[in-house]
Amino acid sequence: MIKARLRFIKLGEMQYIGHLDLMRYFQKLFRRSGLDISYSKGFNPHQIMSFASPLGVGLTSIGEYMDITLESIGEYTENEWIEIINSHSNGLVLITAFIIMPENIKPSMSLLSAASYMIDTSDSDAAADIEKFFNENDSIIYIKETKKSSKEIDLKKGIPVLASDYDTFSHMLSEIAVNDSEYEKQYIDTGKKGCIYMLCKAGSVLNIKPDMLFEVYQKEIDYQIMRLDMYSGEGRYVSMSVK
Amino acid sequence: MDRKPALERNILMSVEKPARYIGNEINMVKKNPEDVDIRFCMCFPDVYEIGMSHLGIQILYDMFNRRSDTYCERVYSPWKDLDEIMRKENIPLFALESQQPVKDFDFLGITLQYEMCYTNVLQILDLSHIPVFSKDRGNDDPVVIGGGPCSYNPEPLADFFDIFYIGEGETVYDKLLDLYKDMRKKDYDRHEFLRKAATIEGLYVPSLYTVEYDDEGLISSFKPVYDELPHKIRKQVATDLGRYYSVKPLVPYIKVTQDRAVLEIMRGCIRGCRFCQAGMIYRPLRERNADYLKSLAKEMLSSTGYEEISLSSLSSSDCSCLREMVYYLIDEFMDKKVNISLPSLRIDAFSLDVMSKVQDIRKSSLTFAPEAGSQRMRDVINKGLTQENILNGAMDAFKSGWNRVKLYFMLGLPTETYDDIEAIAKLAESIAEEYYSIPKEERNGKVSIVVSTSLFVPKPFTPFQWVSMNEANEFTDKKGFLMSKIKEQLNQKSIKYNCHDSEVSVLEGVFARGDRRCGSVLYSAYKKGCIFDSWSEFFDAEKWDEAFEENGIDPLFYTARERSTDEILPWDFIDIGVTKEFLIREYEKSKNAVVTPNCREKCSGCGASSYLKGGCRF
Ligand code: SF4
Repeated sequence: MIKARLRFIKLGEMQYIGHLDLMRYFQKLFRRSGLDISYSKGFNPHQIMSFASPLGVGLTSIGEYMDITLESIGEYTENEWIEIINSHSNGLVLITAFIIMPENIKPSMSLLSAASYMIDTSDSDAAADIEKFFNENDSIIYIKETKKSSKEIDLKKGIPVLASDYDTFSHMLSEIAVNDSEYEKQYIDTGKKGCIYMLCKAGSVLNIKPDMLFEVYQKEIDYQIMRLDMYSGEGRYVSMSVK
Repeated sequence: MDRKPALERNILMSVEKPARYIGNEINMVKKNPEDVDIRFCMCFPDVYEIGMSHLGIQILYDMFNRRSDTYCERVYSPWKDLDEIMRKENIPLFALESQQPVKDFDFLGITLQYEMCYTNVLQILDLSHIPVFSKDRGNDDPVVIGGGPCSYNPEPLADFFDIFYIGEGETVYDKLLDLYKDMRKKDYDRHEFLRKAATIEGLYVPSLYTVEYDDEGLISSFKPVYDELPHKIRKQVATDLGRYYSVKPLVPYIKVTQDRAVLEIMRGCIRGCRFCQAGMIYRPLRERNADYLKSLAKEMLSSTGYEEISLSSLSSSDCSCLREMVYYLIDEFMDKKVNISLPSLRIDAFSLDVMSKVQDIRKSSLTFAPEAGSQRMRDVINKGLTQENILNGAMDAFKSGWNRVKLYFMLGLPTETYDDIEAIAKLAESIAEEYYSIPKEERNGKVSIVVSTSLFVPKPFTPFQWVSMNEANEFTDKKGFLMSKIKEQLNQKSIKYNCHDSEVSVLEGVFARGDRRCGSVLYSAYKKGCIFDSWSEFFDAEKWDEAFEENGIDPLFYTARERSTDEILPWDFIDIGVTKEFLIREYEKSKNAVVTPNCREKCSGCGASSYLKGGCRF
């Protein structure tokens, strides 16, 4: 049995495909590709796969991760598999890394500690204003309502890095994280005006979403969110694309 | 081609299941619309999940797109939420492939699978900004073609369609497209085109036929307006089923009704159940060859990645290659983790064996479709299934570990009495008793029996096309009676009863045997807001009542009225091969509860063999 972690992108109209449908999409994609993936037992066997963090409908991403278990890697290398799988996909969901992991590796889901995002408002003034709002407040309280109770979350603590310029963001990030800006630059237009970049803490304890900040900010703006990458590790974050 | 969703992001984010509208599914055909001569938009007038599950469209989609001069795209009914937005913002309906407006296409082909989608047809035309009435369309509007089982009585829709294609799509579409392409090169005139199209066998252009009625409202004459046009339209039959099949069916992103690869193993049926329209209109029986089917199965599974495959036909147990195919699928694909979903098979040793291999006995249920409770009633409808068959089959299954049974019946069959209805309850009880006759330690818990009744709607081209249909209150009484009878049974706790809505069935009855005058009712109902009538949450009986009232049309004229066999029926101009004499013979036999052997046992000379060189061969 071989464990592998795949990084993939989900672009364009695929933002309208929800997480469960995306799982079904991958199952068929792997079957078309001929990947020797492991199945659960029983009358309705399903492929053994799990995701680091489901992506909400309406978000695109260039840094999604999933774990799969393979019976064997077959006659191809990891890079060849990337090519084969992508040739069976729709051009908008593509594998960008295929990493064989040690067998005792924990699921990505439990390793996840942060995720980075690009939020495109298409409005430079708005982006500058949000950056200012973020920098000038010592604490930004978001009230999370659950069925039973409500909880206060300080977004200043949940968002370690925020900038309205990609290069600044990636530089600040590199001081606390092992990030992969070369990869990201292949997919995003770093000169695009009106964007906000941020690193949000993620995982089961504290899970910050970019929308939370926009909710507290309270001004009506349209924006499109793209997830850039996911990280593991505490203190020093490490991109999940690093083996 | 730069392909961008036709709908803005804020709209897609505000509607339920935006994936219904974005296309780009796996195996979607990509062509540049600028590079083709003919743009054909194929439509299933219901929600995406239902439309995408339809095999016929997949076959035609593939067939059209094999032509390099044609780009076939698809459209489905926008759900209510998007429907409202499109009307408010005046967004024209678009095809999924190019995301471009349907009104810019050359053809709009709409498949008519059930009567309750008729208002959705009007919705499609209206949202596309295509004139709803055929007479109002100009040279720049698409040619609107109807096909599918409901086009065997197209008359209620005559005003809205330019052409009906009667029969199976595989035969004369090429002729039609060639003619169109040719006429487009010169000064194209829509009327001239339709007039020429009407001479192609199987094509019916309703505007070129006139109907007259007598004082009682019965049809007195039906004839073409030009001499060169045929008086009878001959149903099209694909005699070679080895020519077209889609080995690359579209794979939707969202879960649809038929979420699997589908293999059509044969067309037609040998049984001749007297209520069944499909059994008549798809005659004669044609089977696909096992080797061909095997290669299709392989190719389809590898091009789609589906984890399930099913066999499809009207009565798979009658298919001569069934065993071979089922064992092939099990041997070839089970260990590749492909689920094999079996169509409802007659319960016998073979089917129990394969079912126990491919499904979890504890979770699956057995299906019987006796259609009627008493033997007399089953003889009337020519359903060759006896009480003994059912009880023995059930017993065998119980012994193999099953304990769930589903039973399908119809209420309102011709000559039905309350005794026949009570027999349904008794049959369910006998099955339960059969189960409890097994020693307790060999049983698998309690038995669960689900009885479902649908309401009988007489259909054109069946031996029951002349009979009186029950009225809504009769259906309601019968359902209540059956319920009370089930409650009287000893094992009533093990028997659950489901039934259909009476009003929807009555409406279906009107349009199934309606004539041209029914079109006005349809239009009024649509104008009042009726769409998605097959969805109980949207069906609005009151609006329909108003629509009938306003147009001075009595639904009972079409449903409850028994026709005489010499009346000119609205669909008599169609020749399906099966002769009227045969249907009358069957009708008479039904009155005396006399059964007719199936085609394998003995040919009854129905007339359908005229399609096959050398006739039907078994
Ligand atoms: S011609 Fe005879 S064998 Fe052929 S479909 Fe009709 S009844 Fe059956």
